[in-house]
Amino acid sequence: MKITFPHMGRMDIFIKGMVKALGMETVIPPTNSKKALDLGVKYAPEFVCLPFKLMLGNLIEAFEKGADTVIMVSDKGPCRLGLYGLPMQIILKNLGYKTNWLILDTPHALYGLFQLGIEKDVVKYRDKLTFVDGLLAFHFGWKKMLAIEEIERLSLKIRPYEINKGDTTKGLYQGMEAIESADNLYDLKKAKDAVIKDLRSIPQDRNRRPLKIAIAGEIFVVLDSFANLDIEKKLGELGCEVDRTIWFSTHILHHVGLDKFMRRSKRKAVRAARPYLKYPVGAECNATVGYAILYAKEGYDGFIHLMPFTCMPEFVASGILTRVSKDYDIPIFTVELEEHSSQTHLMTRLEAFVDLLHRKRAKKKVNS
Amino acid sequence: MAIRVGIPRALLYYRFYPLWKTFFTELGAEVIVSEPTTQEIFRKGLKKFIGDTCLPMKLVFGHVITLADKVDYLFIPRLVSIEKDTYLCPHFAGLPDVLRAIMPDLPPILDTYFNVRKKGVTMRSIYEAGKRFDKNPRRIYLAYQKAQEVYKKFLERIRDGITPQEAIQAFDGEEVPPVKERKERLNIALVGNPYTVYDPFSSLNIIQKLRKLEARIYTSEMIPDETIEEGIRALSKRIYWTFGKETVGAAFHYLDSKEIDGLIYIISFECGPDSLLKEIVDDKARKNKKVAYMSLVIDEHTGETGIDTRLDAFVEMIKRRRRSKKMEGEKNGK
Repeated sequence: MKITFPHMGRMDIFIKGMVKALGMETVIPPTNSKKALDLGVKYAPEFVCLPFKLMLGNLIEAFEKGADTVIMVSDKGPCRLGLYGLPMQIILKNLGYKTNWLILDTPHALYGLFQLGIEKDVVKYRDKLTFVDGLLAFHFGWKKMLAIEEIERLSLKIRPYEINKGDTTKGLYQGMEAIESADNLYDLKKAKDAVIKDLRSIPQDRNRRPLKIAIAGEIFVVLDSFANLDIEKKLGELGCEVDRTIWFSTHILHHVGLDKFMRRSKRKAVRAARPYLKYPVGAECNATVGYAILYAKEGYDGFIHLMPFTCMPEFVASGILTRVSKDYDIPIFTVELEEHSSQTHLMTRLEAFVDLLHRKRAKKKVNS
Repeated sequence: MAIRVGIPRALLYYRFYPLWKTFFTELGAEVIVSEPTTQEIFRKGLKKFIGDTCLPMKLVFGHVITLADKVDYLFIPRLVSIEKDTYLCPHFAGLPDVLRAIMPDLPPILDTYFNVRKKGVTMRSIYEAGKRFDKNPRRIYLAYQKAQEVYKKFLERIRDGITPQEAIQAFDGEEVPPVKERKERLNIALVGNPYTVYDPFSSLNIIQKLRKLEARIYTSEMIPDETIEEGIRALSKRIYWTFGKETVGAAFHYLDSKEIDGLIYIISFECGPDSLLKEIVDDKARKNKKVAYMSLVIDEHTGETGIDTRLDAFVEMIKRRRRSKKMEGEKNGK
C-alpha cells in the first residue's frame, strides 16, 4: 500500500514527519506547480473551485509516481470540500487509475486506516505498532510543523525591513529545507535555532515604518503559497508587515477546542462577527468577517481577503466585508483566485492598494 | 390596514410559495410578490451587486429592490437546512445578512432561522416568523397547520405530473390545462436547482420551449423522496445539499427507469454544488446508451437562439433514435 494525499499549504511536512517516524511508505506528490494546476484544470469540472483543481492535479501526479491509496481530509458540509471525493474518484477511475480511498470526515474515520491494513505496512523495523509509537510519531510531525510555522512567522516580520530584496525569502526556503530534513527532535531543534539566527542576522533597516496588513479568507488559499501567488512575499517586498490569520496548527487546535486562550483565535473572531452575521454560514466565512473587525480595532492599515473563485461561504463574507470596511474605516481588498490569475495582474493591484494605504496614513497624520 | 409582507419571486419561492403565502394570509397579512423576472429587474440587482456568484443570487437582489418601497416587511428566511441531515447551499444561510450589509435602507427583513437538520421544524421558528402579525402562539400554530395542508396539496398536484411553476399558477387561481389533454409524444426529464429551472428568465423559458416541441416534462419534484434516496444509495458518500441530492437522485432514477427518452440537466454558471454533481451525473449518463443526455450551463449572457438550436438538435436526436429502434424491432420481428 502506497499512501498519498493532496497538498494543503505545508501540511506535507506534518505528515512527512509523522510517516518518517512510523517508517511507512508514502508517495508525496510534487509541490504545487503549474503542472499540477494544468492537469487539474484539464480533468476537473469547469467551474469548480481552485483547491479542487490543485488537489486533483496532485493526485494524478502521485498516481503517476505509483501511489494507490488516497487519504483525504474532508468534512460534512455545507462547503464543497466534503464532496470532493465523489467526483475525484470518478475522474481518476475514468483516467484508468486503480484507487483506494479513505475520506476523513469524522475522527472515527481514522479507523479506516486499519481496515486498509496499515499495520502491515507500518512495521518495517519494528515488530509491532503500539499506541506509544503512534503518539510519538504524531508529536514529531507536530513539532516539525510548528517549527516551520515559527520561521514563516518570523520571515513575515523581517521581510519589510530587509535592505537587499529577496534575502528573507531565500533564508526562509533554505530554513524550510533544513527543518524538513531533520530526523529526530534533537536535530530539529538545532536546525530551527540555526535558521532563526540566520533570519535575524539579515541586514535590516529598522527605521522604516511598514504598513500593517492582515490576510484572511478561505483556508486553502491562505495557507498555500502557490495558490495565493505568494501574496505574503509580494506584500512584504512592497514594505508591508503581514499577519496571517490562519495557520495549519491554529486550525487543528480550533477543531479540537484548544484555542480558548489564544490571542487571536477563530473563536474570538466568530464572536466579533456577531453583529453582522448572526449564524454560522460555514467554513471560514464568519471568522473572516470577525478578523476584519478585530484587526481594524487593533489599528491595522489594511485587510486582504483571499477566496477561490466561486467559493460559496466566502462570497457571503465578501458581501458583508463591504459594510465592515465602511463601518470600521479599514480598506479591504478581496482577491478572487483562479487558474487564470496572473502574477503581474495581482502585483499591479497590490501596488495600487498599498499606495492607497500610504495615502490614507499620510492623511491621518495631517489631520491629527 | 393589513401589514404587507414582500416575498421575492426568486430562490425558494419556487418551492415554498404556497406554504408561505397561506401562513401569512391566515395571520391577516397581505402578501406581495415581486413581478416575474425581467431584464430590468436583473439590471437593478446587478447595480448593487458585489463580487461574483450564480445567476439566481443576482436575481434576488433585483427582486428585493423592486419590492423594497412597496412592503413593510421582507420575508427572506435564513434557511440553513430544510430537510433532515442536509444543508442548503451556504449562500442561503447568509443571504439576509448580505442583503442588510449591502443595502442598509431596506425595510425590516423577517429572517426567521430554519435549521431542520437535527430536530425538524421547531415551534420557535414558526412563532418567530409569525409574531409580528399575531402575538397568540396558538393562532400562529393553526395558521402554520393550515399552510402545511395547502402545501401538501400543492406537492400532490406536482406529483400528478404538472411542473411546480404551473402548480403555483394553479394555486394563484389561474387555469392550467390538465396533463391528459396535452398532445405529447416525447418524455423528457428536467433536473437542476428549482430556482434555476422554473424561473423563466434564468432558464430561458426552457419548459415552454420543450412543450412546443411536444415533450412531456418530468421533474425531480414528481418522484417521492424514497425513490430519490434509493437513487443515490450507491454513492460512497451521502450528498448533503437538498437540491443536489434531489437532482442526482432524480437523474439516477430517470436514467434507470424506462420512462424517459431524454434527460436535461440545467446548471447555472458558478453554482457551487452543481459544479461537482455534474461530474457524477455525466458519468452515469455516459454509461447509459438508451437515454439521450444534455447538460446546459446557463448564465446571464446565454443567448436564446443558442438554446433553441441545442434543444432542436436534442429532440431531433431522440426522434431519430426512436425511428431506428422501431426499424430494428421490425427487422427482428420478421
